[in-house]
Amino acid sequence: MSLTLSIVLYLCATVFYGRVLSHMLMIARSSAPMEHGRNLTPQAVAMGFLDVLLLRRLFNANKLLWPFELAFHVSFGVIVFAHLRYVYYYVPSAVALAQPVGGVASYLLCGSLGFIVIYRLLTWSSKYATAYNMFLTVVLLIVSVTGFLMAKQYRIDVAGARTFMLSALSFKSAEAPGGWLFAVHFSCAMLFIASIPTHIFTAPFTALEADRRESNLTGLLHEEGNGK
Amino acid sequence: MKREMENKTRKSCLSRSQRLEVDACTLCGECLNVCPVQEVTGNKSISPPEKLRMYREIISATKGLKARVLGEKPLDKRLLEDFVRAVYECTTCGACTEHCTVGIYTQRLWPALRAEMVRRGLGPMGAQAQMPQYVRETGNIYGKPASERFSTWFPDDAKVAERADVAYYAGCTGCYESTPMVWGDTVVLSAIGEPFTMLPPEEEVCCGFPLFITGQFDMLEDLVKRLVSAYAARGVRTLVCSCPCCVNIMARDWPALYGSELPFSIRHITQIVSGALADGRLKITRPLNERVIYHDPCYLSRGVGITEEPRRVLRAIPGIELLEFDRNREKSRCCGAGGAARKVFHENAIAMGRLAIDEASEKGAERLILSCPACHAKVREAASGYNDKLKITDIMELLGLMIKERL
Repeated sequence: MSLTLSIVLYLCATVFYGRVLSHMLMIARSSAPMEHGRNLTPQAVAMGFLDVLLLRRLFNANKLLWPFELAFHVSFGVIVFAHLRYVYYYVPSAVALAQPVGGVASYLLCGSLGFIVIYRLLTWSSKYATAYNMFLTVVLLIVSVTGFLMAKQYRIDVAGARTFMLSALSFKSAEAPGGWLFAVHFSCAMLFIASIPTHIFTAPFTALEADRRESNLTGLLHEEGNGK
Repeated sequence: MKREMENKTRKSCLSRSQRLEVDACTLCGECLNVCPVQEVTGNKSISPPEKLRMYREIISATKGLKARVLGEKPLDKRLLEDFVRAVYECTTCGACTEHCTVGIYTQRLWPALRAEMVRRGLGPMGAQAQMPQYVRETGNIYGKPASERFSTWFPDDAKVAERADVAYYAGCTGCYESTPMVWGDTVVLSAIGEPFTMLPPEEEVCCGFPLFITGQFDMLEDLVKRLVSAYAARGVRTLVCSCPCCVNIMARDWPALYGSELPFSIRHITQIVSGALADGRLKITRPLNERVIYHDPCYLSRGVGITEEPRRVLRAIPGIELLEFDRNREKSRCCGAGGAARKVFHENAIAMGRLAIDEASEKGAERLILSCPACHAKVREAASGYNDKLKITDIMELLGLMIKERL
């Protein structure tokens, strides 16, 4: 089991890094250099903050889905941060402090993902939906539910899990915590990492660029700047 | 933009920010709520996220990790055909941008994807492919004689100066398909009293927008340099235009194509007219006791942010009651005439036009005011035999008729 899980980790990490590198190469080979924020106004910065951290554009588009998507993104971020204790030999104090917050976030994560899955299923025919998005959401739901169960109900050997992760990351062998719950949780998490949606890395840049563009829109034909 | 053009010979027609946008789409589908093509076709296979999903599949098959590791496979012909159709059936209205949960700038992304298809020899579609030849031969996208560019509509009593600070660019669609608009433009400019100049019909060539929007970038630089040099030679400091598409490419892309800042400013005609009405150079005293509804053209509202000037112009007419569509200003609903799709996907355009007509009638409007020659041409066509009660008028045509006391 431990060997299998280690192989899953290495394969998924390889696919992840391969995809990231491939996308970075494609972007680097694109035609014009990225338009760095010329005319980056305070308004654009403020809107960018709202867009990236509070999903302002989603709020404008779908007020029903927004609170659950926000809860998902925030809780997911907190839990990923809290999980850093499994990859550091000496756990930073910030990560240690995040553990109780992560415990609360696990409720939010399961609840918000559950709503999102049900919403997508109920609106499958009327709205646009892709099997890929549904796959990712379901995988995340499995990860969150198994993680919740391990944290609250079927407590696993946390020290053992940490030893397994640190060993696997340094290409050493170690025993994985027993039980199917950890195996499913770990495998699905690795599967998500291998299939990670690209918007996680690119959407913040696109939203900031949109804010910059919108803050400059009225100036396009209303200032002397576009001609003498 | 110039770099986009140069990249016809490079590997990609997309800029880096556009490449990021392709990856940024979450495929959430919220944009379908506002897509006008979706509204009339219900065909999700040509929806905005589906276009991006298909393009990602194309990229993945040719340049993705699998292709790099296992070798590039021939692209699925059906996928390519579906993608080309999806990209060209779009009106490029940009409503999806307004509703996009990450802010993808689709009004610029779709033309770049079209350019990619042209680069691969898969685009453009139908009559769009004849545009470069027509422009080369006649200076306009319709292939009609340059000598007829102004002759069918230019007011007899309008005077054009040889040199002036202000120049008026009429545009191909206005001159050949929506003459009431350009007639109104020149009547109003003459009434304002400031001298204005125009290029001779053989020199006033296409601004480049139809070629840009269909992904055919080859001639753009040449067209722009000819026009800018010609206006600069006449001492022009402000170039005025009433076609939103022309204004769009002039403001956004001409500087890059020209290679430096333009020697003149670009202004939409409603900016000039609203200013003249405000400072008394132009007065409308005849009342028009009608309920009118104003349709914001996509490339004027979302494209360059002009939404209030046309409303100020209309409110300056005594007696008018100005109504609003439910979706107005930056959120306006496309009338179907955009994206160079109105002739290739004629049924879609007619259906979208009729939705605008229906809403105008439901609101109780007696007159629908448009501010775009393509909208004007197509919506009038959609109304013919469908709704002959609603009067459809261009905004400058309306002012021109009032100045000439024909209304």
